[in-house]
Amino acid sequence: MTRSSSRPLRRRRQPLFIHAARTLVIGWVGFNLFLLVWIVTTSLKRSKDVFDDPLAVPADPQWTNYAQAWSVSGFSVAFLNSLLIVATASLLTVALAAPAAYMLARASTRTAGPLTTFFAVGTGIPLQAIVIPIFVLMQSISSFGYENLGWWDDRISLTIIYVATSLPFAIFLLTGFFRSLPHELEEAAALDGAGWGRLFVQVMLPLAQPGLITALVLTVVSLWNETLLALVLVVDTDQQTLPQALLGLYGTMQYTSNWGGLFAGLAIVVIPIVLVYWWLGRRIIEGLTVGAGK
Amino acid sequence: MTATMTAATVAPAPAEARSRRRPRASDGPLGRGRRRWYWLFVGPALTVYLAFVAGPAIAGIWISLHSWRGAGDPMRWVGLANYRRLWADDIFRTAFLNSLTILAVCGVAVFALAFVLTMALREMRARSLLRSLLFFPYIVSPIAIGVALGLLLDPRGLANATLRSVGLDSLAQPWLAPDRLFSTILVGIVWVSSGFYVVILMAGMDRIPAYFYEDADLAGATPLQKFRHVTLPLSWDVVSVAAVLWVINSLKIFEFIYAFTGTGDSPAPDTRTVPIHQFVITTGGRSPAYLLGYGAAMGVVLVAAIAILVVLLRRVMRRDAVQF
Repeated sequence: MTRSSSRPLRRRRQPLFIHAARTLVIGWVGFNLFLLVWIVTTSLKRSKDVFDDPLAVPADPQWTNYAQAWSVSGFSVAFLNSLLIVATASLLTVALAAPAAYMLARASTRTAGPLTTFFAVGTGIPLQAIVIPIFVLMQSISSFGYENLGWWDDRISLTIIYVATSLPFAIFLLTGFFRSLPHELEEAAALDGAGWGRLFVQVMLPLAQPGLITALVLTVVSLWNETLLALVLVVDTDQQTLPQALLGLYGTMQYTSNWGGLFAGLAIVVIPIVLVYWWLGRRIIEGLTVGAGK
Repeated sequence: MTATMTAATVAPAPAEARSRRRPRASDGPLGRGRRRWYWLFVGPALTVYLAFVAGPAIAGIWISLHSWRGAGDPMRWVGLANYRRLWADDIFRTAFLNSLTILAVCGVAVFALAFVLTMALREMRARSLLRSLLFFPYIVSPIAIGVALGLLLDPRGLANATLRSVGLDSLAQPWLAPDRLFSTILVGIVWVSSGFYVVILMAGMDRIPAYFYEDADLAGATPLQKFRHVTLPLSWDVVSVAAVLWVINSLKIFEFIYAFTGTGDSPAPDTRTVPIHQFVITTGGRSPAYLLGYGAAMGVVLVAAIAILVVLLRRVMRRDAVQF
């Protein structure tokens, strides 16, 4: 929108500084693209060529690297774990955040303002402040599960914590979004005799769809990359998430030197996010920087 | 990336909420059963938030006043002893200084680069595509990025091989050698983070009307003068919000550094930051030490540091808003 108007009307002499800055932009972008291409091409090399001949392009692609990372190094299990945990936690986050955000944005009760702030404070609390109590709490929940149900799964603990830690940002984002929606439709629906419940489900949720999708995508991206909580809460290798599997594989390199497999593992972690970014990049960028630009 | 999503803290949510909550006609018909619906909608989210975020935050302060190794070990009240111990602990002091180094050194670099990149992007074609590509490292798994950079900078890796192949042997370095590792990490953090601040600054600068720059051009202003007299004052609000975000985000960086230092044995003390050190002495490593009270005290100190720095920063950066 401001794109054309923000350019100077006529280009006069281009000072050195501008040239240097443009070169920096191009170089920076080039490096980012290069890193991605490098991960993918190296993942198709033989392990011994990764460091013996780092400049060479893979002559015959080693797809076995992927097969090996996928089955031998446990990436298939980790991938499914990540997929399951991230999907469940993200959907639950939005399902809890949407009604709360709607009420906080619209209801005129005395507690709405302070509660909005209370949730917003949560986005500024670093994990370091809560990770130890969470570790203790989840330990006692899992031992409660073992004693009374004979069973517990750390992936459930992780999912619960993922929902809780994702809520503040989702509520913040959606509160802003609901506020930006027009009041007229609600008023019309209210005159037709619709209560809060029907109003929310039939009128507001369809209207809020873009906001809900943004909240969902941002939660997915952030949880896909989350590692600290997974490291603290999930011990069993069969239950670990993708970043954990990658760290585990990286740690074995000094014994196995399976570098090709490691790069395949890197690609397995990175490529899904690249695809999501390719598809929904604008939404991700704008959602993540909301609040700052206002 | 729960770690990275903190855009909210600095937004004027309460004030905005208040101004929008003037009495409305819709309160009438919708007023019926309002309270019941309100708690039905807000209650579940609030319960989860209280139980697993707000509650633990309070519990963290309580645990920090004890000596405790977790379930099965009786909690022993030690008052402020954990905090006194932090003060005297050389490794923690190094970690804290490292965290502050990231905050200050990377902060200056990130903002300087973000300004330059944003100014350059203003007048480039395909700026939206370039912006997306600059932003890109910010949303990739920091573990993956850390591992990838580690491999790239390996003594036998591509970076050194390229330097040697173009005859710059003298520039090839053991980038990950213990005495150089932390500097490498600093550069890496700048690279990963800058894109995010470019996007924020760009949003602020896009709102500056073009005629200010046209006037400046007519007056023969240099790029630096335009930056000082037009860009900076007119995007100051956004800059100050971005600075607060940087304080919050930079002090809790964990994954990226851990991927560089954390595989195999525990990270060398002089490359630890507060989040890394806390992890190492509580649940991290092959045989965790479970110093829960001591670790909780580090968490409290980190939050206190963030709070103090944010308040100071807001005060230092307060300016009268420029109307335009």
